[in-house]
Amino acid sequence: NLMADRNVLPPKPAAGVKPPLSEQYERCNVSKRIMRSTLTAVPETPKLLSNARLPFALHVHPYATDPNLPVIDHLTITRCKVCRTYINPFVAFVQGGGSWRCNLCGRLNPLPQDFDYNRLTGEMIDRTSRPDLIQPSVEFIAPPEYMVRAPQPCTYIFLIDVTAAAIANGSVDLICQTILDELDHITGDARTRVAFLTFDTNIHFYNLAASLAQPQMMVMTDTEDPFLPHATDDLLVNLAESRETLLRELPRTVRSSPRGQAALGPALQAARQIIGNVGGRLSVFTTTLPSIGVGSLKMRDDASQRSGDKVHALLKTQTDFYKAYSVDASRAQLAIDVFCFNGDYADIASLNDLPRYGGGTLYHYPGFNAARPACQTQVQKDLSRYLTRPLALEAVMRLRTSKGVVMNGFHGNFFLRSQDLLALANVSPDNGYTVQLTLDDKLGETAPFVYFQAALLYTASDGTRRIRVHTMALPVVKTLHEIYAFADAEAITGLLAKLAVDRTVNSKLADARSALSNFCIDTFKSYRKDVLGSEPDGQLLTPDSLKLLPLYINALLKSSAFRSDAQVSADERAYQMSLIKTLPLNELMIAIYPRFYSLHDIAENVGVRDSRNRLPMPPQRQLSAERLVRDGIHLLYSGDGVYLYLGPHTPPELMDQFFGVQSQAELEPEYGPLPRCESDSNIRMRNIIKGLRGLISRYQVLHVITDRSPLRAKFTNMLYDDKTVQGPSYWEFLNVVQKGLQ
Amino acid sequence: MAQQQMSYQDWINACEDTDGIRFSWNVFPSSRIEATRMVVPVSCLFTPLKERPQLPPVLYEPVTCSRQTCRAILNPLCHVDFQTATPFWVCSICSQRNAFPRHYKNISPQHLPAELVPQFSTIEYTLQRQATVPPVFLFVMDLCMDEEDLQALKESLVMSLSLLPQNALVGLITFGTTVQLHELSAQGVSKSYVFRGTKEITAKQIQELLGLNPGQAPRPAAGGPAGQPANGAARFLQTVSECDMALTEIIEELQPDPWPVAQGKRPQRSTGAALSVAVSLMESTYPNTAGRIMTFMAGPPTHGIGQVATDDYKDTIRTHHDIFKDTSNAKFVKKSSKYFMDLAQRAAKNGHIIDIYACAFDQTGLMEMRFCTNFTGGHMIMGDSFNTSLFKQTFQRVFSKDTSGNYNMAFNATFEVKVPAQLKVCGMIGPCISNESKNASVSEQEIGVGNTTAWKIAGLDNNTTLSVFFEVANQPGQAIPQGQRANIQFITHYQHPDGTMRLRVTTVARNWADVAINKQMIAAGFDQEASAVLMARLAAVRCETEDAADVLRWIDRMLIRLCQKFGEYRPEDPSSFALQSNFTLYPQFMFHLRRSQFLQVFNNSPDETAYYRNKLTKEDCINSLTMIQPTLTAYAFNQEPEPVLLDSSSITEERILLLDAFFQIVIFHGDTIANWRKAGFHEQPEHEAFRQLLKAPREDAQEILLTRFPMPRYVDCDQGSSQARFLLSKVNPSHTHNNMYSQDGGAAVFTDDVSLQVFMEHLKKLAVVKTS
Ligand SMILES: [Zn+2]
Ligand SMILES: [Zn+2]
Repeated sequence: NLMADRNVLPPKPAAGVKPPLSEQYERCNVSKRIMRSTLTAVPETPKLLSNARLPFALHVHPYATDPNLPVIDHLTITRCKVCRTYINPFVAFVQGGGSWRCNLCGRLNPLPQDFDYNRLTGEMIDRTSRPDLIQPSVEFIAPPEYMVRAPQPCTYIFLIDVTAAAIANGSVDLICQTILDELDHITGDARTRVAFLTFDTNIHFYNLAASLAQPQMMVMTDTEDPFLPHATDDLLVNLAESRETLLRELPRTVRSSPRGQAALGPALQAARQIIGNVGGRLSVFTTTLPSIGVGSLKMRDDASQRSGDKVHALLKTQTDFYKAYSVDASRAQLAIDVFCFNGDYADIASLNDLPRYGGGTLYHYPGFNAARPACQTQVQKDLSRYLTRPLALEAVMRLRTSKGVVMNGFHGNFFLRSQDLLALANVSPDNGYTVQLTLDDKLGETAPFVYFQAALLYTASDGTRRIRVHTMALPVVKTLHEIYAFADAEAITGLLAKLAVDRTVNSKLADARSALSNFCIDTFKSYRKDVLGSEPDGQLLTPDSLKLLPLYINALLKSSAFRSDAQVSADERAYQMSLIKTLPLNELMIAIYPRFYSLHDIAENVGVRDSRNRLPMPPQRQLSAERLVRDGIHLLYSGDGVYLYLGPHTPPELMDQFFGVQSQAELEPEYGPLPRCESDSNIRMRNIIKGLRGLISRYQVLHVITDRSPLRAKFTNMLYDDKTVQGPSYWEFLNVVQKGLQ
Repeated sequence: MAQQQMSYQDWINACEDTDGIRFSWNVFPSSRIEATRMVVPVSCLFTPLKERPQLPPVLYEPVTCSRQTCRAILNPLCHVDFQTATPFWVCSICSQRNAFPRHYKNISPQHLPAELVPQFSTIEYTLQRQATVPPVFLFVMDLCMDEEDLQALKESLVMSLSLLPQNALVGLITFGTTVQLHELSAQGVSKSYVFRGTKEITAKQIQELLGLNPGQAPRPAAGGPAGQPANGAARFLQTVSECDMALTEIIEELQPDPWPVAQGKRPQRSTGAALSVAVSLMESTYPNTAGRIMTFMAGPPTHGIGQVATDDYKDTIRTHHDIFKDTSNAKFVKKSSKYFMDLAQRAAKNGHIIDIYACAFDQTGLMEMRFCTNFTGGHMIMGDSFNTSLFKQTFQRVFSKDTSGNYNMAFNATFEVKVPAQLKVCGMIGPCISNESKNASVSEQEIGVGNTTAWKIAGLDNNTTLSVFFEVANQPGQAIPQGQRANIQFITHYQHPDGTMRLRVTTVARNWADVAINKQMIAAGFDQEASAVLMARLAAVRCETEDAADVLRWIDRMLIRLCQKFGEYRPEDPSSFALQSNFTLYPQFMFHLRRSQFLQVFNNSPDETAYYRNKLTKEDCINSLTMIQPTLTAYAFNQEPEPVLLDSSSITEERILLLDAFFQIVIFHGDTIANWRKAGFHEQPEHEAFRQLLKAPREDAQEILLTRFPMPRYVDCDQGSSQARFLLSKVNPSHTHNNMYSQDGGAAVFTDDVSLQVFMEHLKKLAVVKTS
């Protein structure tokens, strides 16, 4: 009964629901970080699923970093002859171990002759030591038949806006300096190739031929019809020494004759010509709204357009160019990432088409100014990670399921090549994908389980072709009760958010909002009717597994993606929506319902790594001002910042303990690094923040919130449980839901 | 009179020395109708900037005739009346009475300003107004060539930076598949602007695209003051002293065009677009200012606008035959020629020179591109490779200096001719375009560039020799007053390489004579050398629009008519035919002209023809004559070198011959000499005389090689060798394999051409035919 106690948030964040599986199965099952189902107990029939009024979907994070992932190149890759499923821990050996039955399609497969032998040494192998039979996630080094062509080297094109505005905001210097700093660490191997393009009113190519004493910049003024000014071999060069000169000199070179307008579209076309069909990664850095040639965009965001039924118009692209470009690039195995430094309007809604179809990512730094340390640190950290994180190229991901399960929708940045095949020119560990599922047949014919297998075939940065295989087993259940009991509220929330984005863009914001609130009502109504039978007045009974749903949905409705007032700029809304569609679930949940802690009263063991190198965190709290203490220190971690809230009466002792200062006035309102001192509290606070930052791939800037702080309102807005201008309090929302149930 | 104390020829030479002028006729027929019957038009070869180190510096402005339609400049031929209270002068062209300016008030017959001193019929004013911008040198460089050639070209260009005036502005455009305009200021990262080879780049685009603010680039009308450098131009054009380090670095870094060239293909060469960038850049940054676009190319334009050939070697570059028959190989000729003509017109209008240095074994499209040099006074140089002394020396010679230490180049000139009422101007043949100055002196009959009395000559040097054609306008009834002479004034306004603006004025006078009464006087004034050159130029110009065979017939007709008119003969008696001494060589010149590369085009490529004709229309009289009829000098034991007949009879076994055909220098060893040389006799001390004999023609050839521009091809050959054809093709075939005409030995030449002797017989026959 949610009405009984408003404090529903558990002290530790949920890490997923444990499905009703045997211990042996659970041990072999894929990590929740990699695959997470909204329903961990799957209804047996389509009818049962529809009665449950719960969505069925799988969040997949296929390229999540996993240091323990076994890499196999000594075993014969063994697959079902019929459905091409990779052999996995859930298959059964029959006929004395000479054959195996596919757990997805039920067919009997003979084992390959050399199944029990090390392919490389010829030695016999014990099946209990075969990683593909005992671990749910494995990676194979693929033999040549998995290659359509020789694996391509990592190929990077940097396309940098060097308009006057980009020079002025410092992005050009910062980008060059950061790439320069990471030159030795950029993902790749000795074959890695790189090209640089810059643009303003014109397009600038760079001849980086090793035989030259210095790089040559070639300016192309023909933006109507850009062409390659030079042979590709000198434009796209091996990543080695001589690139340093360019990066060092580029800011000075472009500063000599700044131009105001941006020819982004033509520059993209030029980049496309350089890359040909080699594919790779195109990193686009923009500051000025493009206004020359194809892909030109108009400023269209103004407050009168931001609310009501007009919102969704601003979320649609202005031009077909970026989508067409992205689709074409994706076919050529080229993914595009976009970094926006626009001071004013970037038209994220339009630019977001660029990363969308190739597996790219969009980064948004509104009002970027390198002179501000926080801005600088954020971009520098994000870019460093971007340059050095693992990268999978020319990838495809196929999801296989047991018979009866049908995929009917996908979320994320990819190009859907066929019913179940996502083409991903790039895969980064920072992107997640979601597959919506439905049932078209009774499940559990062969076994009381359904299986999912995601196989990611890709070229690694070392030039090997690899297949990463994840297999998940879920039990099939026959009752609504069980379905509800094992539903995953966070996985559901994540999916609902994605659906709400689609609904906003395709229909309108109001529809998306009502769909969100109605979801609680529909589900709980169904639960009451079909599971409980009746409910006394004044109560709001929910399955325990879904008790956080109203909390999350209320937060979503007040988030900048879905709030309905005119305060949110078109770019901010579009950016938040792009994050909802692409973030892995664990990151997305932090964005939806920020982590909130008090620091002044943490227990002794909190913030100190224990003997097993785990970092105990303070209990998380619900997002309400009720939790704020006038003389305390609070931490809110939201996915777009780290907010340290200092109560107005925080005593000097506490300030000294935590920050090594006597008063709040001594603290800058905005920090790059956290104030450091060697006090125990400071160290533990830093550990906690560091631990939190590790949860999210993008760097979170630290803001200190005091009464004087300009960001105080923003902080307050994130206390989603309270009544604010954006909407009702959690309590009021519960009342709405309850009323809806009548 | 002067000519009575010296021979006529001496007087002609003296006029050439002082005034740089040679007329076809030194006495003008006094009526229009008579003039047309003279066959060779009244015309002159004029070298406006003939080197005159003795000329006094004149540092004041010229005094001009006050008549608006005249504006002739005060000169020694003007009558000055000192009798009146205030002296006045009478214009030698229009007879207008003019007052002197106030500061001339103290002149007297004993105290004359330089321009009135008779010996200064040619004078040069250094004007007060200086050029605001030093000359601009813009290199336009082909990158489609092999490493070796490119290296040689790079070295030549880098070397030229030290030869250029240090205050000159320089710039660089390179081209291959694309065109690159190089910025000169970037350090660390060199910067260039890239253009597609398939699009013409207009000046407006250059201004917009490169951020040059057109509002800041005044575009004065032609002849107006020099333009101010436009905003932003400094990125591409900087003084040598400022940028020679940077430019040297850029040039040294240049690589052959990076685009792959498939087997059997020509490289993609965007010459047309490159020149369009060059012309547009100059036009938008330094209009109407001294400028030289120096184009270096190693092959034909094969890409984009101005294309001359396809990129496939299977399609050979057009020959004369292709053009004549309009075969598919000639499909680009019209369009390409039109493109380069328009471009040349723009450059010329702005006073900008286009030079073309074409070095390749195949043709390079000089035929289509000839307008670029021919309209602007640019150098057209043809060679096999940039890695030859022919190119290197020639290029170096462009920057040679005269005796006073000045570069032998003048810029952005206008050339004007003033004639009295009895004469009109038909036009000019020379490296110019019309300045469209129309007035009463313009003749309806157009020869060369006509319809004007003023021309724009973007580039000229001390040797540039123009041909001006006149029409006698006087009607037969109108008697010319006794003692009145034909006064002609030539005014050349130009930018001197030292940055000063100069005005060179030459005023000459020739007598009138009535042919009916004084035919002998007119005949005596005939300059057969000048006439031959003038007729050769007319023939070359006719070839632009007429079939070569028709032009040959025209030459024959004109020659016969001249012989009919001025020969002495009894009608119908060829043996009685004789010419007076100053006519005797003329038929021979015409004979050699008929056989020359200028008219016998089918032995040459269209490019060669364009090249030869380019030189013919701007060299001085003697050089032009050498092109028409080469000189032959014989060297033998115990005698001084002597000029010998350009005839196969001059070839003997014991002679060495030195042939100067202007474009080629040939040393030809007779059989015996050749054998001795092969035997190495000249290396033996006892045969010192032989060694000296071998050395003599070599030294004489060296002298020519050192001064001739462009450097000629040098051929050292023996009788009977294949190289000997260079000589054999030039000599009169008096002794051929099918004609045993010659009596005194000599070598047989394998040709079907008629010999001079046969030609003369025919001529005599035709000349004495009675006409009705
Ligand atoms: Zn199967
Ligand atoms: Zn006058």
